[in-house]
Amino acid sequence: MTRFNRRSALKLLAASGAGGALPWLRSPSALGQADDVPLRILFIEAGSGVRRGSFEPEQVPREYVTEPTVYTDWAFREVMSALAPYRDRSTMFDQLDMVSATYDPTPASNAHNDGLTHMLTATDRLNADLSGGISIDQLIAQSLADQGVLTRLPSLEVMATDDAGYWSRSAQHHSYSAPGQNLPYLTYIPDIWDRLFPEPLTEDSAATAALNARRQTTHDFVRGDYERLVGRLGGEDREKIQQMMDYRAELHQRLGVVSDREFNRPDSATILDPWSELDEGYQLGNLDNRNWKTHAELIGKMAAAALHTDTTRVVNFSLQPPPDYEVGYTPGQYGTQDQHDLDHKASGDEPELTDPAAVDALDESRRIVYSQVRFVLDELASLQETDGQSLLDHTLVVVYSHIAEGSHSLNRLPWVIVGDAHRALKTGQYIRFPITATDTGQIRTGATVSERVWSSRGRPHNDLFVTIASAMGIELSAFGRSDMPEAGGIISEMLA
Amino acid sequence: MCRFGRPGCSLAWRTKTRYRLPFKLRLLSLSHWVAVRNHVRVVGRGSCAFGVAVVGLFNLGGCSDALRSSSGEEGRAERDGQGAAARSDEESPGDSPGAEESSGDGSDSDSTSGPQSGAGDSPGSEGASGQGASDACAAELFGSTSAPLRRLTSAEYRNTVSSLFAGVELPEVELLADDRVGGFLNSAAGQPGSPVAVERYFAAATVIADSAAVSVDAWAPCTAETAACLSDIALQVGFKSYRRPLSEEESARLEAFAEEAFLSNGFDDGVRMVIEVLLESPYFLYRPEFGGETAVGDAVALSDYEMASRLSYFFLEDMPDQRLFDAAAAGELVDEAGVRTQAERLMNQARARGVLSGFMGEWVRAYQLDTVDLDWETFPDFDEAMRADMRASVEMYVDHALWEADSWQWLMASTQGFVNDRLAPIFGVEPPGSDELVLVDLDPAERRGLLTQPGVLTSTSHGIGHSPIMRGVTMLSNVLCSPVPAPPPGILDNIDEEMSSDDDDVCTTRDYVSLTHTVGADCQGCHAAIDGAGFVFENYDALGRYRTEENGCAVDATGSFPTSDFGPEVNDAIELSEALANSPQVATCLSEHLFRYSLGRGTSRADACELQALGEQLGSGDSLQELILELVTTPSFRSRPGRN
Repeated sequence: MTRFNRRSALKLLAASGAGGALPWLRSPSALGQADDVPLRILFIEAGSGVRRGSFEPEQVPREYVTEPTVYTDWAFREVMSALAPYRDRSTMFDQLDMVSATYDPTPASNAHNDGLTHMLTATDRLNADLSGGISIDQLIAQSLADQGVLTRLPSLEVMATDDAGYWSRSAQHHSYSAPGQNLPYLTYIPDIWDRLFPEPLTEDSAATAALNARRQTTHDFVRGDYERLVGRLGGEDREKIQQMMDYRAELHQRLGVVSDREFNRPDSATILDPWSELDEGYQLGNLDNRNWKTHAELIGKMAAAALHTDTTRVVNFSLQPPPDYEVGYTPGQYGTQDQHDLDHKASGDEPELTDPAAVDALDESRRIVYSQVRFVLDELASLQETDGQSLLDHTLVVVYSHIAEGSHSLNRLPWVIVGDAHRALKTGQYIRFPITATDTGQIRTGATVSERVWSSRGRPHNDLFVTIASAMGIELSAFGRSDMPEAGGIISEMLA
Repeated sequence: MCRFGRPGCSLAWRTKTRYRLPFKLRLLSLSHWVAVRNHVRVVGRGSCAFGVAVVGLFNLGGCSDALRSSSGEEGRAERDGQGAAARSDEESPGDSPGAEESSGDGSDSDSTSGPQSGAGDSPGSEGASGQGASDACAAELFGSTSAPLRRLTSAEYRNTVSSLFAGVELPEVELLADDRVGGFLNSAAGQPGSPVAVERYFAAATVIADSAAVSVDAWAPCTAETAACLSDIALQVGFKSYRRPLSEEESARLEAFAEEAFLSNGFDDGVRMVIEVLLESPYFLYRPEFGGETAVGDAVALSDYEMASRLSYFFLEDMPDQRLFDAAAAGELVDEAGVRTQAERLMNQARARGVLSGFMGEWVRAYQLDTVDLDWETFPDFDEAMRADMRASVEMYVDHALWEADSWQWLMASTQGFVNDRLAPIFGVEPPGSDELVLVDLDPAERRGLLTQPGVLTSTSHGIGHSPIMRGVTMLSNVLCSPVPAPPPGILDNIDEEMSSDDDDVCTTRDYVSLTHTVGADCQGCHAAIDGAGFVFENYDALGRYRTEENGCAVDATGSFPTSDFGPEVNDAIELSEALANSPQVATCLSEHLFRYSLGRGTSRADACELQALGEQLGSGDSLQELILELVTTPSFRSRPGRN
């Protein structure tokens, strides 16, 4: 893995005068040419995957392959048809698998955590509940910082859930800044707004100047304490404190960042007014005012705004499965207890529940999720950049899930990549990977893909992350677990 | 989204397991299935992989070899029943003789290199927990042992700011969760630095300062809105937050800061700024120890104020109180008597009782009860209320052992327990007619000691059953401090396909686990120890209910403990508990865990002498409180390595 020397980067920054310019440090994008629009990345967690039988494109032949094979004649199936307008800008995969989870020696606390701990980290768990590695979104965020890209927020993690407005203000989730250190996801609309767009925003206001002067004073004092302590320590303790001092300096620089782009933030009324109305309903226990869809849309708007204003270049937006009232499902229907039960019984290669109405109810929840993904893509496409292109043209979107489908399978992930990462990636492709039998290590041939083979390992999703990182300008030889024979590094078929 | 304890979540597991696996495989816990599902699905048969996987002991290394050397030359592998150290090619037992320290039970963490990952000559292998300890006594106190710089845990941070600003209603602050390393949340190895950690400290300092600044009359030495008052506040909070007197330079610097803050921002914002810088200072966030002037061998005695902090954070998870500060100022904490006096005082505080009782629960991993995920259909009574009662029952049990009985014997072999109407059927006693947990007599033929408490037994259950393997690992690693061998390389790729899970002789969980582990020679080596230690609890189901039959077949609860100083054969958990209460090895093992907890680090060969002495004291004197007092007066607790 590429390692960046944070301290050197910061020293370089200080030597260049940027440090001395605090607190009025400008973000690189603000300083750059008008058409020098940065590339951003948006991760969208789309529910709990897609029933396998409903995502494979009908145009693609059901066959095993011995080499990665690209199909260009394909279309999103009905469940994912909301993404159809973006088909030419998308890439899908067959047999992209969470192979790392199959090698993990530490059992997960449950089947969902099996995927949750691997989906963005692709490495062994620290324990039953936590991953043992950094997640790809955080690696990109930290690498950008190491390269000198300073945005006010290193990254943004947000989540849309049914509970968000009522009681849940944050939740531990699946982005990891370090082994075992997962980041909380903001779910409460006002919290997200305040973090993204704190007042005052005005660059030349006396209040902002006073605030930054105050921050400078306090930072200087704290830095002095760190320096004096570092001078008294040796060995690992010294490194430990030095590292924290560097992180504190970086935070201070971020706090001082003001980007002209931040004035492009949306009108707060478009976010907070609808929410306030809903929130009031929540607080009063008025369930009629619950509206997962509006909640998801407002967070989607803010996620797009975070990128558009260059407040951060890395956003992770978790779209949790829609609630019953959005799906039109009633507990007890089809002999199922709840949607989760429905999900299980109607998924898998030999589903216990084949009632078309039940299957359609399951698919409906996916249709809703992908409609929300579409909403975000539309939002990105609607925001114009300084070069006349859209924000979507400057954003790589990774649509992922923690399981492939309701059966908890981690094979054949229905993930979608949208965007060409400034022409670094090809699009409009459906890429099928060979699968390897776990018992013999041989590539499977002969059988048809429709015959489900549990004992297979396809292309590790680690390689997708290596490819994504490369597209973002971060060269990695491997990501996550690196000793899997199935791994091959960059997925060359994706490269333009 | 599946949430713990929700019916749908458990149902998913049940459905999946029944769908894929034959009935007898369902006897196994679902975590077995998780870990090996990819392998099992390949071959359609079970194997030793089931057992190996659930233990989660996947450091590379020789399974059989490791077992043979479990009392001797091989190092202790990092492991943990829930989630062991991740596989690392560099960390196979015996491969790292240079590594000096061990976190003990292998912990829930630490897949990286570093002292906690080391095997080598750890006390677990060398016998610091009983066997051969005297041979391992080092000439110097620390040897190559390091005493890493510790950061305040989340709990310590919250308690400390509450003490700093007593009387102020402080907001909830969201800090990064502490990693559990070596079984405890306060290990220095579980406190990596990160940008997010710094961001959280910054945010926490800001909101705490906001709250404290509007209530200065509740905690500040003065409230006059003058520069002089702000300086006084800065110096007082500086002293308390650094937990030591400020140097002249520090005082001058802080006073200058306060003056500038006052002039630029006024009194109220000046107070905020003072609080912000002090709460972000590394002298607040960390507990640096440089020692005083007294050096003996390779050790330097802690200063009075450093000793005050060690005592306070050990007993209270909080900054020193005024009496500790006074004792430090009077120079009373450099000698053993002064330390003991303060320790006795602190130990009698209610908060200390809670902290130390919590440690006892951690020792046997009762915290795992919080995340146990049992199938709701199989165990319909196991709801959140029962989970809470079980946890409380264990906490009250260890609390009683420590503070009422003050007896090691009672802890390990009592025939009493804390029961309410909800838990009565689990304990197998008549309901006491109370929702509150009350101390009742239990059937001595069915239940005896901490390890037979339902909360402890349930903490290793999952899915639709109990796990003899998890129980065995806890026994070996936490109670006996006996190395749990790691499986050999490639064990999962070497599955024996000849063993059939439909064998007619398989009736009980023990039958199945035994069968799977006797098929492969590689498995047999490891699991003779692990299973032997876990089978002794077969009289208890996943909820800890006593039973003599399983699936209509008689339960065999005999266990074997070849690496213990008792047995090696034990008939059941009742006999085991009596043996544990009289085992020097177990007493020393508890001492080792307490030692690691108190110092926030692993142990090494150099610690062996002190650990053995503590164990002997506990075994002969029976007093748990005396063990704690002895611990805090050991040279290790009162000093630090002389080298920096």
